[in-house]
Amino acid sequence: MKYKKIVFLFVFTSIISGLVFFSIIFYYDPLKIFHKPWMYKEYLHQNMRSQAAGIINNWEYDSVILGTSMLENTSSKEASFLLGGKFINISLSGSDFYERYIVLRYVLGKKNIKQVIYSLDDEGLIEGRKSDPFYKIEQWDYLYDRNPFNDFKVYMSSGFLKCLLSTSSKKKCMGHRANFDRPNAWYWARKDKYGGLDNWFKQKLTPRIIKHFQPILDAIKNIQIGKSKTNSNFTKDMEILKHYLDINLISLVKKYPMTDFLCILPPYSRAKYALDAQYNKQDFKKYIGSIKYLVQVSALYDNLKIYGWGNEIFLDDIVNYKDLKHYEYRFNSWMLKEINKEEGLLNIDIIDDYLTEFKDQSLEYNLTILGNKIENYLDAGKK
Amino acid sequence: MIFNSFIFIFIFLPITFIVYFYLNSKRLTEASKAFLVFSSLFFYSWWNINYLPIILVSMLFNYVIGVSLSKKDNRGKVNKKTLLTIGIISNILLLGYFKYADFLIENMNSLLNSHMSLLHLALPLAISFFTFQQIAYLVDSYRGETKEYDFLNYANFVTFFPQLIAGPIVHHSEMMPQFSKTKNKVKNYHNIALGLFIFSIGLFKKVVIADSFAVWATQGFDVAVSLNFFEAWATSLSYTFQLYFDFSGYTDMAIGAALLFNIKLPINFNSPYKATNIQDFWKRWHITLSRFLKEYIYIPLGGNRKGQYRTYSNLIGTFLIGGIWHGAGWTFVFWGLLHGIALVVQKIWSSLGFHMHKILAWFITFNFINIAWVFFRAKEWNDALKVLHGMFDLDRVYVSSAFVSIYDITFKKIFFMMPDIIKNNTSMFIFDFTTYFWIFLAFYIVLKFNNSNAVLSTEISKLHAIFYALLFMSAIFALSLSDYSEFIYFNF
Repeated sequence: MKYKKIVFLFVFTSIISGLVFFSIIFYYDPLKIFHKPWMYKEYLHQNMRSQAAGIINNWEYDSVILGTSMLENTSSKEASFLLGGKFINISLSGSDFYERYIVLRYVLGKKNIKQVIYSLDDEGLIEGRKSDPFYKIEQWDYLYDRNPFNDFKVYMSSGFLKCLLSTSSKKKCMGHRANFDRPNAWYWARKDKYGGLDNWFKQKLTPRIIKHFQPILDAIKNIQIGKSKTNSNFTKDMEILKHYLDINLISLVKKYPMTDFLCILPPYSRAKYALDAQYNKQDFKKYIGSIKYLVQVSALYDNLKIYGWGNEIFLDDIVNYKDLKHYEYRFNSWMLKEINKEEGLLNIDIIDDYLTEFKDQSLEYNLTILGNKIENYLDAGKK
Repeated sequence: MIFNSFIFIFIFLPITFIVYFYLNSKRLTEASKAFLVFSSLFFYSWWNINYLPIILVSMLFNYVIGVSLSKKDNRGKVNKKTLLTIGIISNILLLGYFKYADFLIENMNSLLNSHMSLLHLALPLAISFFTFQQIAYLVDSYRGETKEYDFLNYANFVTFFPQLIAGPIVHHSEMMPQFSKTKNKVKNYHNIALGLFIFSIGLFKKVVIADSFAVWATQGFDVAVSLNFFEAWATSLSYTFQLYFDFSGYTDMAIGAALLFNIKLPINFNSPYKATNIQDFWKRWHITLSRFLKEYIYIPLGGNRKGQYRTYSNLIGTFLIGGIWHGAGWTFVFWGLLHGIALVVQKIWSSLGFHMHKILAWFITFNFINIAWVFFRAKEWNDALKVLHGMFDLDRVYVSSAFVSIYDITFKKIFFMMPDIIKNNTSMFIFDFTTYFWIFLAFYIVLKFNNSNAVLSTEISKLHAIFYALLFMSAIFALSLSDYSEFIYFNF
């Protein structure tokens, strides 16, 4: 009898200590995964790969903005106003289509979603990438499966444990006071970098900046001497890319015919497209190939719409960009208005003309000024 | 399925326990034994069901041979010695084919400058363990030391899941009677309590201690290009402690899980790093392997009965076999050779009547073991030489920049850093204060604490229950922090 009691005490203590521990986590729940927030209601974590699960599970919405940094500045209120429905913005910084497929599959399976605004970035169209090495998939994908119990795993890290023990309200524990309209918007933090190339080069030169600019300078120098990168396996690469797009995007378009997929090609700077067209020729070719493929597929599905503004004049003006890709946030608003007016919609009838013009503009763009500026900046910094 | 997985701890083990005793409570004894065999084979197949036919065929083959050998009358068509030889050779061929074929081909290619293709066979799990156990069974059957056991008892002896994968290497005489004993068919709360306690200790050893050291050992052996003096010692000591806590943790879990079913497995470790000479070490380290090597190799070779030099060569031969048993590689052979030579040196030393102070004896023994483990761990000779070079390169005795300053020594660094590293699986190279703190702690535990087997002979109380439950839960928590790793001895 004595030993029976001891066994029960062991089991009881284990269960109670486990229950206490998980109850605290359940109550604390800083990512708002298990329930609507009971405290720190205005706070969200910036790692949207984890945080999006909480927003998806416990927010009111019927439409989703799911992009990268290209859509992080897009206002969900404005999208709701212009396109109807109730949007949330859960864009994942630097994400590819595979990562977004994990999130999108979960959202679409959970609610009747009316519209998805989705950005078609390089990571998907050119690289066909499967996850960001910095945000390992296995560290967050379980938040988007059907098993709610494994969601506790997200709090099984030393960081959250320390937060739990100290019931800290610090930013790293509870997140930052968020603007729910566009939780990870960054436009307000980088204002000084817009307005022209000179503003790009105001920062003190660091190895990280050199690592960023040196390949651009090298590419421009190569263009000047007539060198470029070419691809001998274009056909094979395109097969792989098409398969990647089929699995990670088209499959969902097919499965959810009542959901409108508004896919936009983020208007990167002309300088970026020119670098690709004149030097990274294989990337440019793949980019065009992927767009063409998606537009062809969109002819088969009424709920898939591809928008592109690659021939707009504002792409030529570097004043609108803080680097080769990131445009001013007013263009996020502009794109919504364009979608609302059905402007920029690419279809099978116009796609060839659109791409020809886009290619010509990219080939004609003069990169010399950019190259000189970068060279001067790097030289001055090294001195 | 491994012991340190949620599926084993919270699903497989409880279900097997409940069903087994339910069947016994209904007096369905044979069904309960069959269920235990089925559960064990399910546990085994969890990794790869393709291995299942291998263990089934091996088990049936050895049972049939064993039964034939143990029959009193000797009127069979084949005489017993031939039957035993067939049995042993078949087992060795099976093991040799899966474990040593590629090693043999590689060496043949090097020697003969030939280009035979490697077979690239996946090593069936536990093959070294169940083969050795069954060879022992055949030899004892031949010697007339076995009874005519029923097949289910025999199947449980070979497949009983707590010991199936990495031992302890059990002897039929200590296992099969336990499966037949009526008393063992009833739940025994004393055994259950002890089983839970020792399982908790093992889980804690593995998940909290061994897996922490694994990070540094891997960094030092597999990632670093070169190591300075402190880093090299941290690497070798990390592996020395990883191996001990990993394997003894596994054994504790095996003993604990078996006790739930009223089966007592032999102890396998008895504070081996307290050993003051190499013979003492082998009486404390992987005791059941030492027992097997002694009874089935060393003694049949002649043991110490055929003169001094023959004794020495028998010792070295036995340890060479022990080395190669661990893995098909020259580093394992060399590790075995080192231990064999060390035992010979010790024998000579003792025969000359020399004595050594206990602390000095411990110091030499521990360092010998630590250095020998370098060869055991290294994937290539170069990895071993890299670590050894660092350990004895006195020109490189400096504290690396990675070694944090005293100002960085924080509670977080010490107790929270490792799970992060494990979880993120980063390639950060960090031998810092944390490493040395844990090495110091490990020394304290292995030298000052009682062996976990002591729990088995302690009068247990309610306080024990609370303590071990908290230990269990902290291990479960650590398990959830890290992606669990397999036990080192699963590779052998």
